[in-house]
Amino acid sequence: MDLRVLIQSFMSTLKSIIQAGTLRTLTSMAVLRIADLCRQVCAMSSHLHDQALVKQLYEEHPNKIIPAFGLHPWWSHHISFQPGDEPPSKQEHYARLFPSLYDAAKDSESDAMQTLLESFPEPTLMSTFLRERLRPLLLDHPNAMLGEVGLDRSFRIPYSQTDAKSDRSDFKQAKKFTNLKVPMEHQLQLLNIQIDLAFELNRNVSFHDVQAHGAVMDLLASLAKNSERWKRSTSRICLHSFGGSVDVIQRVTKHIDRQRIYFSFSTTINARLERLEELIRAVPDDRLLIESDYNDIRMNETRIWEILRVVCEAKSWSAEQAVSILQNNWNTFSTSDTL
Amino acid sequence: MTDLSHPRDAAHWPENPDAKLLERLVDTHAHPTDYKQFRVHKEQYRDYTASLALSKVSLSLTLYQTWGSLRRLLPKLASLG
Repeated sequence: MDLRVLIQSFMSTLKSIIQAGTLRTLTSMAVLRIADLCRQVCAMSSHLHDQALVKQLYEEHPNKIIPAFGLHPWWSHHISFQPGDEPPSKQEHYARLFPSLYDAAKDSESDAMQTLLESFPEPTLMSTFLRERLRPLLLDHPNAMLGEVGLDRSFRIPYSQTDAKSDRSDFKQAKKFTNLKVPMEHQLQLLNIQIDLAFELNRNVSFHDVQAHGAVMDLLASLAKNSERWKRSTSRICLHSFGGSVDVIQRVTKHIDRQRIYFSFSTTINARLERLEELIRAVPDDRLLIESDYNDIRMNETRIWEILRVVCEAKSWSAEQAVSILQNNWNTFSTSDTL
Repeated sequence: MTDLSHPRDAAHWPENPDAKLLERLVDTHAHPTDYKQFRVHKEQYRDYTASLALSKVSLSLTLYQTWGSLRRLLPKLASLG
């Protein structure tokens, strides 16, 4: 085909898709490379609007994608736990979560805060999300995990991306972050409800823990000790891109639940840690997993290859040995029906 | 060819990924639907979604290796349209 005709045809088709304004475009770009991947990828959901994208991606590539549904703590403020069938008003909900935001918005010099406030969505009732979205998605996809869920003490909500001059809305490109953090109690409430559902349905969990190791350990220890559902369930938990300490690893494996909890590492997040190899060495060989933790599928092979190398160096394994162990760990994590 | 039996260190690590090893591994956590969007409930996000896809395509078009993939993608894009 003539190159110019090829480009014109391609751009014309793409333009029609863009004009249609569908979200399919983005996943189509991901499809381009997922189809070429030689391995399976656990595709995480994060917020109210990408559960459907992950579902769609799985339906297009059922042999490549292991879907994960759930709400990430970065978007937990969009959720209300108010009883009843009606969510609170936007003002009521965000004023309760972020009292300082409303105080600042009253200040005439706080246009940015006012803009941020206006940019928040109407709150969604957790009971509605659970009943209409999360439970049906997990039931309809027997191999699906719960993810990404967890706790984050570090994350601050960025100012409205719609005001950014940059045409990228990657959060790293955001010019400023507010001082607003979602209260830990709110994050915990969301996490507990989601984990409870995962354990009810015997689903594995991909768990986000950033600077919340104490709260995460307390939660896991409490569940292991007190939760009948935990004791009956065969669900496993993967502490993904784990950035805690050797002490935390030892506490989990010796005192909380060695059989149920796995540790996964990525270069995307963990490469900045000087103690990365020390952490990997501290994880029992049969509880180690690896991941890309990346949002561009084109980098998948590179990221997995990088972390495989780090694992080999940390554990003094050959590549073949590492792959065999990691393969076996994944099989146990994903398919074993006993603990 | 990768020496699979040698304990790994920087001196022995193959520069290029080994497909036969990679195909046996599962990526246990990824975000192929671009999760780092903070105003996803806004129409702007939906517009942006398209422009992001376009920017990715534009970038890809600069790579020679992309053309083979592009030819395979065209029928799929046409069917979506």
